[in-house]
Amino acid sequence: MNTWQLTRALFFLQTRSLVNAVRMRIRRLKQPKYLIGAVVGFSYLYFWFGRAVFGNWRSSGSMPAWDAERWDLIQSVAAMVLGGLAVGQWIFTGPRAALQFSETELAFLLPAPLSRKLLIRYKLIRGQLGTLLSALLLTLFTGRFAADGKIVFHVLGWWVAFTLLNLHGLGASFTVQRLTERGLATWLRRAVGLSVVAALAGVVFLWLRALPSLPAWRDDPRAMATDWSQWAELALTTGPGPWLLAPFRWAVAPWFAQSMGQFLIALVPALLMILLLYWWVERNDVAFEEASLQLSEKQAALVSQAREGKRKGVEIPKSVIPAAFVLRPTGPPAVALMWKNLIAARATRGRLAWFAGGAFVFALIVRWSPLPEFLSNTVPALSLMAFAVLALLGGTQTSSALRRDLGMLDVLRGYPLPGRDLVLGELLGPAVVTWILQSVFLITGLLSSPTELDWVVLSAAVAALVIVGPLNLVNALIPSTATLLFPAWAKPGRDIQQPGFEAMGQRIVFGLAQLAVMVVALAPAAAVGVGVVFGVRYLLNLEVALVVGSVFTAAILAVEAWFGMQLLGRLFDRYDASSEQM
Amino acid sequence: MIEVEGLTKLYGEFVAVSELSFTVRPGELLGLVGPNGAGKTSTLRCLAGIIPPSHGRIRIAGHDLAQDPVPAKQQLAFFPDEPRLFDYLSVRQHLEFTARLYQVADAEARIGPLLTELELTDKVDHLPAELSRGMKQKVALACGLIHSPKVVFFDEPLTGLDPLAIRRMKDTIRQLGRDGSAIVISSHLLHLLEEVCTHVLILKKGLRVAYGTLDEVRQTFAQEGSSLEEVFIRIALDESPPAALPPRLPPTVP
Repeated sequence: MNTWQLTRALFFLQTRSLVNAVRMRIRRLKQPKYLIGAVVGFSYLYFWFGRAVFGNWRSSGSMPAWDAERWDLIQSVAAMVLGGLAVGQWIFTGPRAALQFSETELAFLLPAPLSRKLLIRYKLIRGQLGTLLSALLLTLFTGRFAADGKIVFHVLGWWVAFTLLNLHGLGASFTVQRLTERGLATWLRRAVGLSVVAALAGVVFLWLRALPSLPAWRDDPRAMATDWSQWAELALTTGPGPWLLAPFRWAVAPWFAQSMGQFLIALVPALLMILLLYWWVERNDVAFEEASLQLSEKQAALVSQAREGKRKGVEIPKSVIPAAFVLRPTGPPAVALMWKNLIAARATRGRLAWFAGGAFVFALIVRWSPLPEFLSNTVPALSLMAFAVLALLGGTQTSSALRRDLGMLDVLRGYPLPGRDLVLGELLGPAVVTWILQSVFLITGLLSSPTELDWVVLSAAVAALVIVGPLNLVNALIPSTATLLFPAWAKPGRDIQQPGFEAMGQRIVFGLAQLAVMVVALAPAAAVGVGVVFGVRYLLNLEVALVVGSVFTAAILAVEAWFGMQLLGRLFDRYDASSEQM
Repeated sequence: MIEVEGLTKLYGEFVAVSELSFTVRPGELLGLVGPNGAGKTSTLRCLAGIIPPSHGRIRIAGHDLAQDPVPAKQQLAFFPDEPRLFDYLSVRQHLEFTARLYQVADAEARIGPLLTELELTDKVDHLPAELSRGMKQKVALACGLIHSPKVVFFDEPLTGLDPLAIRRMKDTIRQLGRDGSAIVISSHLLHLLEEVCTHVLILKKGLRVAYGTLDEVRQTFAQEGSSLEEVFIRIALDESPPAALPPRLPPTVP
């Protein structure tokens, strides 16, 4: 088989995998739950990003109100960023080059009769799809800010920049490995790299000293921005700056093209650089296989860790975590799950005590320190904001243990517990941790506040803490329901963000559903609570009324949470992971 | 005692297990055998209450698994091929956790002897990450046995164990049988089943093709004195369809 045939085989593998993946997702749209998610996700993207981009594409000419000089300056800044990244690829890359393949690819491709050149070519071909998708997404996201109707220029511009950076990174890592094999120590390479950067910076600095001095401070921010941009423009467009930045300016030039003519002219040097870098990468004959194997094993371990429900970035404990309380062998079994999840959350009594104690001491220091007013108001404001955010969004956190443990469904299913108790046990642990955090934030907010704490404020705080306990459970119902109803979306046990329009749509739908459930759940509880507050206040006083009202509100929320838990339990009992094959 | 009647498991249109019926009495050890894709794991997962059967009835120690799952699960233990432990719980914490789930009032009195028997005493404060595969298997065993189950399911119990651990696992299985537990072992290791099992059930394409004591199955499918391996190969190589698929039944699972 000749090189061309092998290249075609690898190209076939890539395109077939892509087509099959797309086909599978389209086939899944036959199920209404996925179709709705796709429609919502696509509409969201279109209304937020697409309309701006495509709308202006039809009426091109709505240029931002920036002149050519400003665009030139931005191009120079972009070139400088790209240059910095490219230099970093020489300095910060490891001593061994590793092309990233999946474990399956390595199992098939490494023993196959393929040259290194072909493997590199395959890797580059495979990377193109991701590069193009990134280019498209970045164009969509920046479309709202760079809506000049040049969508094709922007997509291709991003693609050129990414491709150049990828090729350069690959070539640099190959060259670094060759130099390392010839005896160049990593520290020496980095020292030389940094010295070259320092020398170039010195040359630029000497040139800048010859320029007019830095702009002076001005009260008008717009005038100051103009002064600085003029100074930066001078620094980047005269002296050694343009020479040093020239190749990087060529690399980003297609993105900044304002007409088809300009774009085609800008594309010529960029494509020439791509060809040059490709030639450089391919002619390197560096043994990358071993490092690639190690890298793919590392990636596979991370993926499997995430699939088993172990959160990305959260390490497996290195020593035994003491339990928050002694678990007796008899009593409600749901408490066992709460006990286990408190250990999983590393919520030991010592840690909680240190956290709360530290926060309260800090709050008191802020309260009694002679700080400027805006600073002394910041800490209580931030603390109360954290309390409010946790009260609103704590549900996702509260349902985290259930989602994680569904990765061990065969173990959970073996336990002699009705689904309702299992769900309750799984939600209680994180709910307790969330409630403790809310309490610490609220108390810190009150303690650090410079205002006088009267009984009404204290009663309101107690009332808030009484209410948020059951509210956390109510809030956790929607993400938990989502996990059990739509396991292919929520990927129980996995902490990997699912890609695609339908997954984004699902997140939007459930975000809105969570808000709706919260409003519906809070409405009767709040109505009863307010009624009780007015009644008790009439008989006694506001302080007592607030606390009594909160107890009634919390009781209604607890009843709602209980009913929700019954429904969730039934869902769990009927949950058949084997039916969700895709 | 395990009583299975008309167990059927469907994945969409695909029939994984079809109309399977059998009984395992206390002290009996049933070996579940079949080629890859025969429906062994699906059967075992249905029996352990992990996945719901599409049709049919399963009774564990007299309790209907679909109608009365909690008392049924109180009496069973399921050991998957890969020991599944919580990364953040130590060996002792695993046992305390399991004891509470199964309401083992005398847990403290049981944990000590169990740890000694499984040679885990010096590992009691270790996390799963610090244990070898064999040790993890022992922890899973200890968790499964702490409530003295009357019904035990093993899925490939010897996977990844060294010869010494294999010997101990076989001894444990035999001891459970002697103590009166009804046991089902799913395995491709036919010599293991010949060594420890009293009965055998051979599945092919989701259908029961052989069921009885080892001698009965040997007599039916090969010459007397043949090994289980020869029986298995004869059945596996037989190209004729095992039997016609049964008609769809109304679901019995609520």
